[in-house]
Amino acid sequence: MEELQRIKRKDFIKQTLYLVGFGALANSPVRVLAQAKPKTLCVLHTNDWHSRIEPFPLSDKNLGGQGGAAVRATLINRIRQEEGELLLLDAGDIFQGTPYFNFYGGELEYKLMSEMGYDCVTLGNHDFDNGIDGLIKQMPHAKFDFVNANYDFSKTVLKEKIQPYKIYRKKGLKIGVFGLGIELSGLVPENLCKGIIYNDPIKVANSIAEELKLKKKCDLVICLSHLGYKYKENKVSDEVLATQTKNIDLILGGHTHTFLPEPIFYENLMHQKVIVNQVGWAGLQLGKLNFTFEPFVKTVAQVSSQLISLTNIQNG
Amino acid sequence: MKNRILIALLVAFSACNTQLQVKDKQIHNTRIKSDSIGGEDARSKALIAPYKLKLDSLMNIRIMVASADIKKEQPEGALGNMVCDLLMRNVIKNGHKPDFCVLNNGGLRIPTIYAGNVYIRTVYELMPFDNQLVMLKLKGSKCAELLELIAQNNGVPVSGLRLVIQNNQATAIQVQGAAFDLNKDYWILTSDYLANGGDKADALKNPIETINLNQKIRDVLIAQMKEMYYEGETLQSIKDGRITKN
Repeated sequence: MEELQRIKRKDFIKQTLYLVGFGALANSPVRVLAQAKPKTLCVLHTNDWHSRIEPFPLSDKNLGGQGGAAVRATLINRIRQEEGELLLLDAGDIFQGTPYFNFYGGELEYKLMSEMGYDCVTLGNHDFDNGIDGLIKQMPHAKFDFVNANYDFSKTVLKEKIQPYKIYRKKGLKIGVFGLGIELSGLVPENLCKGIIYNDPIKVANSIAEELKLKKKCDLVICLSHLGYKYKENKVSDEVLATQTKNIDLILGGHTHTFLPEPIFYENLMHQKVIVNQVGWAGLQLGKLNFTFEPFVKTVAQVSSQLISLTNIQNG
Repeated sequence: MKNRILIALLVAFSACNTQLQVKDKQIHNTRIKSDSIGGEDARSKALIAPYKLKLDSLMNIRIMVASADIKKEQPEGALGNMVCDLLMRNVIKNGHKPDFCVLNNGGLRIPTIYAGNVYIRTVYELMPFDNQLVMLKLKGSKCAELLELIAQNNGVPVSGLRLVIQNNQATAIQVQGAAFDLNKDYWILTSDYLANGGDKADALKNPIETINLNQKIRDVLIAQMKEMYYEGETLQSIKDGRITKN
């Protein structure tokens, strides 16, 4: 391990010595000083919460006592204390699955996520279970952004409410977040998503990611995807997305309720690394990815991932 | 000249974008117990409290007892069997004559009803969708398409129907104990979700006749369980080989 670190340090010094000259010229002395220390950005994420406000009931032999919004809130507060500014994201299907949704239509889900300080979410198919009107009705309770780039909402009342992407500034870094949704036809009854036009996620992703990375100069481009991790059949998925696009750094997925044991690293069209992660469903786990940006060169040298399972069982 | 090179290098450098040149990857997975981080967040708990209070009063009502764990499985599962059998019983009791019942796997949202008390909450979690019951009169040829879909999906919840999946095809098909007849019309009990072509059930589109029963599937299940429990029945875990795979 020490050996490895020494090699790494040598590499690093070589690279920086080479680049420092230009970097120092390109940046004002103040900025250079400010950038001299590596910056670490923490990205927290969930997916497919499915209205699991409370932990699973203890009568459930597999999941009893696990999950629960109030414990997640404690955990997020604690991580904020440690990490400072961070990004908190969700990849869709916040709605549907417990009577909380049947009776309150998602109101409490959005209120709790606002309380936890979510920055941005994308839409899953089940977020349309009470129709476009049912979704719009709950939006005033959401103090976070909604992104989706491959649904054309222009013929619906959602057109002003959902943006293709949002750019966040955290810890002096610029992070672009855009959303992709699954084809709704066959999944959501037509009358519930009327007027939404589905566009090819790969095409859309390439153009949006290029805009974010090259035009807007984002330090990190994140895709919130509700396409699903991967399929046996030939169907667009996070795996296809990761390998068939460029300019995306991180894909946070949902829909297939996949419990990935750790983030999966793919190579994109340009043979650059893309990370894909998904953390099951029901708020059972919180994904935490820390990106450490090297000073001057703006490359991410280190990614650390923590998968945090939540359980409410006392002294369990 | 020197200046030009410098400018060119500067431009090249500033155009260089962030890349994940990950040299070091660290993975830690942890399980966090709520008491180790200070329990539930008080503000979130307070936000939930009034909603929970009302829900608990509506949901924590025992309506049935399961005599064993009832599991969702494929090609045949006791959970799918139970749901379809109860729906058939309820609808037949109310004077309808469905030949068989078909639902989709995705419609059952919990993997197991555990032995013991079954609450209204349990049925809501089993079937959170507000799908309604419909009866469709279908030509035998259309039924055959539906049966193929069942086989391709490696079995779905059914009642009144038996079949063997062989090479992804439905064979040895029986409806109410009689061999399936391609020239006969059948009445199918299903959800409006499938009737509208959900889950690629195109065979159910454009039926000869449709009867909307105007009842949510969940409400019918709750009513049927309540009635059975009142009459001293418990919920059984039954697998009778209605769908098998060769």
